[in-house]
Amino acid sequence: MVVGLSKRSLYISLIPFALFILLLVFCVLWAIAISFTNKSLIGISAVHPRFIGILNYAKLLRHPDFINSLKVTFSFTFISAVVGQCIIGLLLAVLLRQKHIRFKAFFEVAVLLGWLLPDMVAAFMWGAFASATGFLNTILAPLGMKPINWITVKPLTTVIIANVWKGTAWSYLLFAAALDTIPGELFEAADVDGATAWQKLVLINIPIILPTILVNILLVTIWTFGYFSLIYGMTGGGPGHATEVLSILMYKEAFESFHIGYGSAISISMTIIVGSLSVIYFWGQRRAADVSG
Amino acid sequence: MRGKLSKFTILLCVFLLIGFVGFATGQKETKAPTTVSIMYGTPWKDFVQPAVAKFEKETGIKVKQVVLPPGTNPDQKVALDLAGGVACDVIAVDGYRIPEFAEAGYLLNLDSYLNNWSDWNEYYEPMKKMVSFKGKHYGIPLDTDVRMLWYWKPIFEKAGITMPWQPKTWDDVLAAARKIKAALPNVQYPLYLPVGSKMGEATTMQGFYMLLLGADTPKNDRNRLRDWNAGKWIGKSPALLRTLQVYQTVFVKDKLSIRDIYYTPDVWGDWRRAMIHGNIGIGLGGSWEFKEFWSGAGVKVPSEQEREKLVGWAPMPGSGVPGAPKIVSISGGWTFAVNAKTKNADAAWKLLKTIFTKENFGRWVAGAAKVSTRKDVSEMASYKQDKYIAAITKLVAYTTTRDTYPGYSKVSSYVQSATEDILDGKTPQQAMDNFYNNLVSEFGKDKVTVIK
Repeated sequence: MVVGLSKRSLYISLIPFALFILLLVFCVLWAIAISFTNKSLIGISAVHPRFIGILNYAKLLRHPDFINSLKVTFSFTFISAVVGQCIIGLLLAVLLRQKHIRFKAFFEVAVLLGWLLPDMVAAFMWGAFASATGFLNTILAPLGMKPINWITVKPLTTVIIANVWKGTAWSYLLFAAALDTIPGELFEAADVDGATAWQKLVLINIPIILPTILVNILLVTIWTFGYFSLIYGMTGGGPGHATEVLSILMYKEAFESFHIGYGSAISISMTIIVGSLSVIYFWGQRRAADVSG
Repeated sequence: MRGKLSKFTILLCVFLLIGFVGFATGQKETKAPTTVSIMYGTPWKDFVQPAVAKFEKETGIKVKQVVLPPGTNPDQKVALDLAGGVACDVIAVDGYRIPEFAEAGYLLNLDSYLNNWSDWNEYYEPMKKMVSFKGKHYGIPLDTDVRMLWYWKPIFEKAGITMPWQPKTWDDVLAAARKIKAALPNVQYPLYLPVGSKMGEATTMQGFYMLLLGADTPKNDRNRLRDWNAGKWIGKSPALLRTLQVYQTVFVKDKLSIRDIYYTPDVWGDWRRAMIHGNIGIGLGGSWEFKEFWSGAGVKVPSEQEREKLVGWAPMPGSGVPGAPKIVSISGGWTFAVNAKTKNADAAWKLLKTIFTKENFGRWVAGAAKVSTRKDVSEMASYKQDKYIAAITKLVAYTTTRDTYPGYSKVSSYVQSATEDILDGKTPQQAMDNFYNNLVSEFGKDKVTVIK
């Protein structure tokens, strides 16, 4: 019971939440139901959709584009979010916590800028930055590299780097906040014992903030697995199907080809995959808590 | 507790009842309309806006205009608005969507209005056919077009290619592109051929169809996506294979085009900018580009004489395979239709009539370098005297339309995917097999045919 709130007031205040949850449940159930039909947004199937059982899901498993998108999505998520954003975010947080680091505010603002930019603005910016005449080639020219359009020559690598640049700020903020909770005495004691920076990182920082690291990995995996706008803006999923992550495949099927039933089947599959990953992370987190407890 | 809960339940029911009554009475609104809405793209602004001002003055009805900015995909926007039930009363619809929109019940059957409108007799029969489905008409044809090969004259001059350029077969086109590549290595697109799904329908129409139609004889629909006599989609054919082979030559084997421009955030603006900045030698495009190379690129349109010095066009030749057409072109066209859910059907029709007067249409169509859809406008002096329009009208004799049978949108998306398979490094045979499998999976094996 919330202090100072009568039961009636409590129920009334719960109405918006209940409606919101009902809406969410309705949308999810609708997507699930639609995924078992041939519902389209145009044509006869728009008005008279048929129940087709698990045909959409069976089609997915035979669809070469889906298999390709699955591989692209896993590569994109694992390299850009789990490895890139988490590791760089952690290293930045540890580095910028050092007392002798100067211009800390400058570095923090620089890291945050990518995060603050709207995705489409960032996509256009990367389009210009990584083009044949872009700044990236200007930087690389003294190293003897010929100018190329990175977005078409190395599309997946470029969108992965763009996503690391864009999303690292979140991991940095989370880790910085977690590191601030570690008592300074631990490091003073480590200094007295003659511990190196590496030993302090591995033996003090990481074990103490391990639950935060796992939560962060869970969150960035969920976000990145369904990420759409930056990649779509930069490449549209191309060239060919080179950067066609599942969210882009789903968008193309549902809103370009107007197969909303099939698009729903893709989105439900994405939910199942990311849900399974979440279960693994939760299990890992519980194990970590047990060990630290 | 129970008493409080009951009161709460009653309160909730009252709220729901009020909401329902409000909704129900809203549905029964019968007052004369005070507003009517219309959605169209920027290229038609000069056509629609003067008529809207006239309509507002004459009727007192306010027109809410939704003008889609350049870069928006109006085709997709209209489809999603209609599917979501939020489309304007009057909407610009790409002609090939009419059957699928009509089948879904999205468009108002205009026959009762058109039969009482004398101007309707002035429309060419093929144009009337474009806006019809199962004998009923669902729109007024706005414009039509033809497709051809555009070339940038300064590049041709530097590469030493004779002008006016008149390629006779695909080999001539590829030879010219190879010559540009050899002479001018800085030109990144010796041959611009729309590819991939980000170009959407342009890949299917400006690129794929323009090759497919010339890839085999038209007999028994061997050069099409649909076998109309058999009532089946064509999943495999020599024409499909030859078409995909050209994609492989252009993008993989001879590298006559890099891939960048087909995947940028602004694919349309970038193709036009690449053309007028001399980065494209030859490009497959539509008749509207004579002006839109500049307006679509966001720069001031030069005079017709200046444009003629810079850009030229040639009819697209066939492959040279025996029986294949010597010249090919394909026409599309936009229409203005009325949303079936409109509550202001009469006002929407009145607005359409005001927009499509002979004077307003005639004034706009010649100036916009569009092909007229009605006879009386084609006879107007301003239209007949336009040199460019007179020249492109000759292509009308060779043109055809898409295989717009319900399901075409899906076939088109598989065509785009097949071209992407080539970019991914698959062989033309593998890309065609994927295309066939996609069609079978979509329509069933009995609705897909193979031509040997």
